[in-house]
Amino acid sequence: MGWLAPLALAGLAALAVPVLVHLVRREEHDALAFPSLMFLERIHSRVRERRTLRHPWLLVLRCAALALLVAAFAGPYLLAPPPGAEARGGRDRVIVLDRSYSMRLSGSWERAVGEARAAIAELGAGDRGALLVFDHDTRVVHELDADHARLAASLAAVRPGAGHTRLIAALERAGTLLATSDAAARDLVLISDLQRSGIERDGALHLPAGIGLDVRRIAGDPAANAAVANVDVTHERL
Amino acid sequence: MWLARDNAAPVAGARFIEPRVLARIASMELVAKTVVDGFISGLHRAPYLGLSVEFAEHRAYMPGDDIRRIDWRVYGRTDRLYVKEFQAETNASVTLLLDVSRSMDYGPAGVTKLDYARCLVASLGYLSLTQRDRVGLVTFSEDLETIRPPSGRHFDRILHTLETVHAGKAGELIGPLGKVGQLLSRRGILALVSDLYVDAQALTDAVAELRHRGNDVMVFHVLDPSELELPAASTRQFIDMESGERMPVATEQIRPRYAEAVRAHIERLGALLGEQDVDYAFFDTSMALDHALFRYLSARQRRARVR
Repeated sequence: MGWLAPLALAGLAALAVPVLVHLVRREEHDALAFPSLMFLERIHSRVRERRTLRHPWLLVLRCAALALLVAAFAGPYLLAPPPGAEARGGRDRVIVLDRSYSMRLSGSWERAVGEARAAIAELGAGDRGALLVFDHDTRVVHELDADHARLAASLAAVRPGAGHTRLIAALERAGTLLATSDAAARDLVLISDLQRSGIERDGALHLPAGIGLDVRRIAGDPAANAAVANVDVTHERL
Repeated sequence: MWLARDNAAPVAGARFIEPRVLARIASMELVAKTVVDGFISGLHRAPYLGLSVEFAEHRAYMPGDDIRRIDWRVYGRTDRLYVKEFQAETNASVTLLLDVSRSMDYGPAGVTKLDYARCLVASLGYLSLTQRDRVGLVTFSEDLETIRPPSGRHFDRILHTLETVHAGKAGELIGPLGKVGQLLSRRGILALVSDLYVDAQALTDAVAELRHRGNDVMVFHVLDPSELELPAASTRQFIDMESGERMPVATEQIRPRYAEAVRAHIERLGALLGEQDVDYAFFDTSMALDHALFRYLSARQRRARVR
């Protein structure tokens, strides 16, 4: 269990207030002006009334209500923050689309857009989707929302870039979009040709716990290559 | 037993206005005359009480005289109206000492101790005046506040003082009594009216000093009935009216002990003051004033016979 705002627990010091009220208010209500305490003082102190709290159960209820109010402001949670994740069903998905220069070649971009459309089509009613494109920079094209039509329109407006690949940074940026999600399922759909140079350059990947990663690799059209297999040299005399 | 809690008047056939009604009368002169004239007329109808106000002479009736004092036998013989005048005692100097400390302002039933004491002092003064005494008044709290030396001619100013006095300051009994003894130029009768929240021995010593100076002292101890037994309640925060001190008290637990402590104090006062030949009488504010007047006259006549 944890607290989103643990400093708010300092408000528990206010529990002293109802206790004091239950003591002090008694004195004010039962006061009686009397000509002299001369005879009362002569009577032994053991018959003086011990100071006790009146209405102890009311005091307990008041303290409990105050404690719960303080705890609410402190924001408790049982698993990973934020609390209340079970309250919202459905899925939150971030589509991470590679638009680096290599995606221009061999029809890779068209295939990548097709995969992105498929990823959008997989979203159900109430599911939220976001679109993030990357090359050496990362840009959120469409924030998480449940408007799938606008998400598809945002995808249609994206064009391939001319930069190199920084894959890890893009995935971590996409992870932050899902960090505050309270959906039951959270996943990233990576659509890329997975250039090796882009992965090695950025190092290890760190994503928040509970986020799934669906990698959809885009392979280019097979290209015809010519190779020199053998060279024979023929000598001629004139 | 002097601790008379019943309200039966010692003067049979006499009916007296209740103290709570007297307290509402603004004019002390009216209060004093009502109480005293009613008391004296009651004495006339009950000659076997062992108390007599001796007849001295007749004088012609004047408008305003109490018609109860008209001698109808003389009228039957002479067809003229005459009122009886009574024996002048010793033409004594009577000084009435009234406690006006803050504790005297207590009276949950509608009559404060000060109201009662005021009416009592006015009545005693008027009664003394009918006895041809010189009457003076001293009011005190922590110190002497008003001083009117005994005189036969300024009773109206004494009544005015009684009408305007109020309880406001914390009180202290012993010091003011000491100063009174020094102030008095001649011996006389001192009548102290107070709630006597003071150590019994300390009071006795102070009064003994006054006796030593040749004064006759009478002490009228006045309390509210709720001061004899604590108010019925479970738990109260008692606040001393004079010092402001607070004390939480489980009232139900200590009521019997408190009542016993008060009775013991009253009895001790009576015993110690009696040893000093001081007349001591206790009253609560529900008792008609004729009790006090009766005690006053009894004491005075007893002393006159001794002399």
